[in-house]
Amino acid sequence: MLTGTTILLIVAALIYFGVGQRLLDRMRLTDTQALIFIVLMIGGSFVTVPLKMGRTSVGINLGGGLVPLALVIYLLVKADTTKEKIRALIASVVTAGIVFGVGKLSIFDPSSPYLFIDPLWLFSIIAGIAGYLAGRSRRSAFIAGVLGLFLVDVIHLFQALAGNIPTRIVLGGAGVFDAMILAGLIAIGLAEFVGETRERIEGGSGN
Amino acid sequence: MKKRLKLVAIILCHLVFVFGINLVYAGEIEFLEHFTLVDENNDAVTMAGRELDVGDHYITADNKLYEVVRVANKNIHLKYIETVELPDVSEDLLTAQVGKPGSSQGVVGIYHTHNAESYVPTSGTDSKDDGNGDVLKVGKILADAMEKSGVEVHWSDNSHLPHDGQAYIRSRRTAVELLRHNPDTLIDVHRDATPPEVYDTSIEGTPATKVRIVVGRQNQNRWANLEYAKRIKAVADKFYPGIIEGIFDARGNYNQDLGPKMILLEFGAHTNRLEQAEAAAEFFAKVIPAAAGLTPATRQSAQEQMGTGARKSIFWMIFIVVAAVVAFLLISQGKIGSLRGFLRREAGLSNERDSDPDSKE
Repeated sequence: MLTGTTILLIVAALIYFGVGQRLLDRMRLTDTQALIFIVLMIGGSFVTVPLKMGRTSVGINLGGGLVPLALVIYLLVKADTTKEKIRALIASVVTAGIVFGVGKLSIFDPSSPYLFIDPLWLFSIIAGIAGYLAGRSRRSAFIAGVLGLFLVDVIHLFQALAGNIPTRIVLGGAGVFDAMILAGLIAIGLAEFVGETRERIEGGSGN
Repeated sequence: MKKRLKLVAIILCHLVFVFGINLVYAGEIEFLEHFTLVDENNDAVTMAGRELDVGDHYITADNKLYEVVRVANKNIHLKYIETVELPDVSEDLLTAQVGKPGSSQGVVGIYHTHNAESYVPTSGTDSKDDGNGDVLKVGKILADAMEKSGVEVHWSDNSHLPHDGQAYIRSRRTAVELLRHNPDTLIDVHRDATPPEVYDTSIEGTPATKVRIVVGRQNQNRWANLEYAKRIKAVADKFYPGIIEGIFDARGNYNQDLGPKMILLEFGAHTNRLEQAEAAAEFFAKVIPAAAGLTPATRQSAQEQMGTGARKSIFWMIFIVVAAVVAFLLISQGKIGSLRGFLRREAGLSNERDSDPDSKE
């Protein structure tokens, strides 16, 4: 018999993957393509490729790192104009800058007085806002989320290597539950809400 | 005008970026401030190394539930809500059997988000730069003691340095790795930052630290994990009265969105001795299996008791999803009359949808 906690896990997974697929679908991906990416993210979560061992060990996870990055590259290649690509890239750099800065402001943990919400969710919201402001599209929001958080890890990686810090950096290491993917998905959702609200205020229709 | 706004936004962002880099060095300066939680009469209830937020809750050692109503300087003002009733665990304990090595007694994962945390009286520092903090020893003792009673324990000493706001995002990767072992519970072992008297205690004549339980309230599993925390306290109160300092139900996530029975434990503070925290871990190894329902005798009651919290979590999750869908329809179409159409489109049962949502921008 299923226990309450098991049902909770199943419901949470169904909502996460279901909503995730519908959000990816809003970026010029077909239903099937969105589903394939979700499946690749889940499947790839179980594979981590070690890149460097030692005091600072480095690795990358397929589902949480390579697959979302491949999707970002695909979206950038498919972008209509150079302007759109540049906007998405600027949004990513801006997101990385703010996230990195906020991460350092909240020196100890999520109870930091500088934060009103856990960093995990805050970084996703920052990515959504930066991505939407830069490109006013769900695609640029997603790119800002994934690439922004990826860049933060890269900054951390360089700092760790330069300072010989004993730490472990696995890019996208939490697989389909990694902050990179969460930030990308939440950013699309936020852009969707902001976009619809803007159109509503301006008298347009969502359909 | 829009271009100017964007320019300002970009400049501001880069200021934060540069400011952030400067703060890397500020972050290395240890200022372990603490906060005092006071009740309506300004009497101290407890102290904590974390700042709380209005709306956070605290359950004291004697099960009084308080809510944070105001934060002023180093004082956190509380309002008494009620005395909570913990789950009844007496029957569990009467029938609980300590397992034998090699017998199946469930799976537990242990990791350390703040792996550098240490105890000053023992090590002369509150944080070790090499990442090999005293708190790792506390987690290892907890792991070894549980393994002796037949529990399969996966302990991770992964480093998540530096100790900044992204530490939990890095430790999330360790937590997910541990989840691949399908653990019944996942424990993030920490130490707090308060004066020593908050955690000083003696259990069965042995000097030890008390333990504080932290539940993050900014995730969908909050209610399930809170119920689990209450069960841990109930079991600990029976085995070792006084070992639990209290339960925080506070702002934050602490990676507890990854599942129910994800918990954060604080073994003493940096001002206590490592040996006291190790003793607490040794005692706590008896608490976790019974609380998490790992022993055959405790499994059913644990499932029943935590099921209450799980149902509440499920309700809130579904409520939020429905509210989001309704809000989206109201914003995009000004009505919710087309809910059926929306669901049909999203389920792929209807072709009536935007071919390219971004194209309308």
